[in-house]
Formats: sequence, structure tokens, C-alpha cells
Amino acid sequence: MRAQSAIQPPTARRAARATAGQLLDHCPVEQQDPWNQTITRVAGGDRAAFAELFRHFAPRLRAFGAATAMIDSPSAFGDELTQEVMINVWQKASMFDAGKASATTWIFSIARNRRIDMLRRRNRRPEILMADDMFPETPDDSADPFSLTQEQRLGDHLQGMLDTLPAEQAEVLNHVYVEGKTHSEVAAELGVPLGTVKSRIRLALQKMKIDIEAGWQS
Amino acid sequence: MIRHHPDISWLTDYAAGSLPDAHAVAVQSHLHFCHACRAQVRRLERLGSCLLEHAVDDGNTEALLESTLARLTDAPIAPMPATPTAHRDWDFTLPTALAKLLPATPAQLNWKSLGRSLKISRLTAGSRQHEVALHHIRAGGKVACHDHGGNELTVVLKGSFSDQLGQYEAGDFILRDKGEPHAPNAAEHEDCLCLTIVDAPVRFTHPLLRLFNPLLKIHPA
Repeated sequence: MRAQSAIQPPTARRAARATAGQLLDHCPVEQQDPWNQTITRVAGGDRAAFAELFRHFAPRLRAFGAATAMIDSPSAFGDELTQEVMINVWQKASMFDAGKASATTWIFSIARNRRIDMLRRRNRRPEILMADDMFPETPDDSADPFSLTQEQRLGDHLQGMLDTLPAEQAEVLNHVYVEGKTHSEVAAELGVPLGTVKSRIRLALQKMKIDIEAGWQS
Repeated sequence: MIRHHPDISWLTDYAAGSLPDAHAVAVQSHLHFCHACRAQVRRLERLGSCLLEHAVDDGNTEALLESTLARLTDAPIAPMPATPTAHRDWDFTLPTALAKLLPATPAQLNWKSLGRSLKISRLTAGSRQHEVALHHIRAGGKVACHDHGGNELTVVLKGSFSDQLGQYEAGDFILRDKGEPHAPNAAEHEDCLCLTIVDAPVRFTHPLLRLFNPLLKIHPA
């Protein structure tokens, strides 16, 4: 696992060193994501809107794809992922519901799902389970006023809390989310005990008020 | 009431998409029952969007845009997903991911009895490391005390069971590490159905049953 970091492109390494303050600058507040309207236009078949969305997200999706752990040609994989995700965005734009998730969160979930399926295909594993089965839509929750209030509260907190994250916590989050590694793989790569990785992530999430119900977990 | 949840590390790995498929099926099965963890996952996905937003490649993407636009002409607008009707013979609503691994009716499952109380139906999930199976304990049934060479993940789908460490009901997510021997008992009034994922074979702890241990293997599929 450790050898993998050597072949990552410089951008991925930069992303891994992201400080919480930098993250803060780039994180749109859920309810005000400017791309929500753009996706609505894309749903109407607007190619200019699609190009706007592409110019913003393609560099991000490419970095996300290229940072993927255990792939031999990161930049080709990054391009392929970008194209798959953006075509998916075009196909599914009419299903986008800003009441459930912001545009950026919606695109993140498409990127995550397409990456899982692309890796499955690459590793020639049977296509019995696809990512969309493992991450189904849960329509019942969006109508729940309690959960909407929670989302709102998260939007308020996340901005204020991200800039207080130590670099080592932001780094671990990047390994898990951007490179797609499990906690155990991150521990092996950093040469630290699994418990250290878990506690860095837990501390980060608690600080950002994402792990708000930490109390019920032993 | 659900009392046993995946910890935040499991939910983070799930939301980030880094879990192996078999484990993601187990987490999704828990989420099917657990509103609180679904909300937690939505927050973790939102964090994912912040990290995506930050990861920027400074190369030019115009050529990629051109080739993507060229492919759009053929891209159909995906229809709304149809309401699933395939599993209506099951007497409870199946978690979406698990449903993909199950036949249309419970009668089509292939069961193998392990003693009087327990039967197991192995499922094909496309996994190379994990055995994914349904475990059925008849009402009031007791399973012999056993341990595992690795982790055992259980999600209760229907009914309830208990062991010396606790009592578990539909939706509970139970992770047993190697070295935590247990002897599950189903509740008296109802059969118990669980989804179980193991990465190493069962090991019985009783001196007589231990003779079988070398014969027990897992069947990743």
C-alpha cells in the first residue's frame, strides 16, 4: 500500500496535505450551492449549462479519480472517471432533488458510485452488486422535518469547524474519501495503529459536528 | 429498538465508498432499519462533497469536455427507477443491496442445516474474501458456542436473538472480533433471520465439537 503513494500525481499529494482552512474556503453551504440551478438547466437539455458544470467539476473529478488507490494509470483513470460521472450527471439530471442533497453532494455520490463500479470492472469481479444498489435513494427521509433541521444545522457548523482541524486529521479524511481507502489501509500506509486512524477521524467528525450522536456509540 | 450500530469508522468508510462490497451490503442492511445512521451517512456524504470540491487538478479539461459533449448525443435521459416488485413473496421489506443477492421467494433459498437449531444459506455476492450468508435460528433454538478466525458481522433481519454479550433485534449491527466466543439463542416466540458476513471459518469452542474445526471452511462467492 505504501508504494502506491509514490505514483500519485502531485495534485493528489497536495490534496492529501490540505489544511482544514483551505477546505473551508471551498465548501459550499448546502442550501446555497450555486450549482443546484445549473443542474436544473442541464435537466432541460441545456448543453451550455452542462459545459459550465463540466468546467467546474472536471478538474475535481479528475483529481479524485487519479488519487484512487491501487490503480496503475492514474491520469487515464481520472479522465475516464470524469467522463463517466459527467455523462451520468447528464442522464440523471432530471432526478436531482435539491431538497435531498446539494449539487456538489449529489455529484460526489455519483463519483463515488462510478468509481466503485469502474474498479469492479477493472478487477474483473462479477457484476452482481452495483454501487447504486449499495447506496440506494431513501425517499422517506427527505420529507422528515427533523432531518432537514439537522442538515441545516450541519451547514452552519461545518464552515465554522473545518478551519480548526489539524492537518493530520484532514490528511486521514483525504485518504479515506479521495483515495478510497479503508481505515485499516490508511493505518498500514501511514504506519500507525488502526486506533490512531479511527481516533483522528472521530475527532475530526466530532469537531465538525458530523458525528453528533457519538454518545450512542460505544 | 435498534441498539447496536456500526461505529463512525464503518459509516465513514461506507459513505466514502471504500468498504468491500460484502461489508457495504451489511451496512446498507442496517441503514434500511436505522434512521439515525442514514442521517449520519448523509452528513458524511456532505463532508465527501467538501473534499471533492477541494481536490483540484490544474490540467486543461477542454479536450475532455469536447469528447464528453460528443458522447452526450447518445446519452438517453434515464427514466425514473421503477418500483421493485420482484421480492413481494418475502414477509418483510428487504434492504435494497441484500435484495440483489436473494431469490424472488424464500422457498428458493438453498439451506444447509448445522445442527437442530441453525441453518445457513450461502449467497453469491461476487466477493473473493468474504462469505455472505443468511443464518436462520428456529424459535427458542440455541447455537453451540463458537469463535471465528476473523471478524463476524451480523445484521438481524427478522426476529431476535441473544448471547452472553447482549440482546439483538431487527436492524442491530453486530461485529464480533476474533477471540469473542459466543452462543446465540433465538427468542422463544419467533424464528430469527440474520445476514452474516465472515472472513474466516467458524471455530467451535466445545472440546468435542472442536474436532470439526479443521473441516470448516468459508466459501467466498
